[in-house]
Amino acid sequence: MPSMSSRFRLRNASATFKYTSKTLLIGLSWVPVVAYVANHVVWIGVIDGSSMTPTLNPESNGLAKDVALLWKLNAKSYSSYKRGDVIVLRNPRDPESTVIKRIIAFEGEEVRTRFPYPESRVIIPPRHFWVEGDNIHSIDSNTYGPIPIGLVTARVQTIVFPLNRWGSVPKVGGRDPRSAVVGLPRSN
Amino acid sequence: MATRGFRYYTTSASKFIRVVAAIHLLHTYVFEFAITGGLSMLPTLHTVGDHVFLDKYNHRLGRNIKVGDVVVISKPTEEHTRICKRVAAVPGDIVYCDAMPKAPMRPGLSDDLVGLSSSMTNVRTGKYIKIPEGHIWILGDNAMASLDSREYGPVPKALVVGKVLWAEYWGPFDWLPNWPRKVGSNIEATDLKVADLLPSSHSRT
Repeated sequence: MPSMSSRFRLRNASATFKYTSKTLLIGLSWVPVVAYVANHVVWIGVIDGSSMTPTLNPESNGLAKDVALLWKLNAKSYSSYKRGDVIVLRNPRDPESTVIKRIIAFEGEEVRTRFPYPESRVIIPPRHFWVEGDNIHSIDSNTYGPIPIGLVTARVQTIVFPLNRWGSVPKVGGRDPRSAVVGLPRSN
Repeated sequence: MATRGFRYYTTSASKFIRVVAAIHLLHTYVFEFAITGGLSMLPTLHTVGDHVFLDKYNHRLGRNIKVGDVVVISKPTEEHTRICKRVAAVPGDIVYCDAMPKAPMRPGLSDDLVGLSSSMTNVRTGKYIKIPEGHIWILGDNAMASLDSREYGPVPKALVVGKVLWAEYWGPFDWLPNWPRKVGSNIEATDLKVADLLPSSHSRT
């Protein structure tokens, strides 16, 4: 009889709705946890642009872009960085975007700058880095000067895609720090 | 009687981390209550005991920041520290960077009151500076005792953590002693004398 089957359908619909909404809410409650991991532990990112060629996004990739792990643990700890680390930082000229560069010099060191920096030598202020892209045409500290640790967002250590370039990002590339930093000992 | 088993603890733990993560998200991206301290924003903010409301949602990363806003930024020269100053200029403005004398650096004197060596921070004093795109010029209301853009130079907008919307002065907590207090003893004072703040024979290098 139509009334009995329609009542059955209604009860089922209400049960399905309750189950779906409950599952949805539980799922949503895990979003902040995933967001925490994404912002403070590790996440994955597609690398845009050619300022780190040939270390990242080399010509051999063609149109494909490198995908790398972005390590965010201890990203704001100044002493945890080594010369040659590749880092993600907020663009000083556009706070909404991020850039990837390599660390060349640390606080207190004197750097021989490149075009277009207005002075030929500069001393890095406390808790600042001098960063440069591996590509000679990159816009980096030679344009906007030393960057404070507060701008650093993540470390790039591992490339995950394309698979033939899977592995760690090389620790050397771009300008040799021995030629960039005044007074750097040979062994560094 | 059934004791609380493994399932209870895992469920409680999962609820706990979800709540903590949600609160953290709220604190980092929406709003925060913070307590300010120091002399550099007198008379706007007290030396101790001002509880402020930080609007992060609208003003993180320097969004919608105007001249005159009181903002909290990550300190450029120190990690895990924040400072509270007023925005004096936005990108495109031209500022005159004055050479206001400050107390010479001495052990024990608080950071607010000394001037960093300007050669370390590459800021030209006594010159006109144009604020580059994406940067702001910050200035403490108490310019005489404030470490701000006159030392740091134009500060990248991405360092801005939030804007201070209001402050409530809730004086510092203090146990009452068994005898009458000295006048003024409940206000935390620095060991600063007037002579400390007058221009001295030291020139700012």
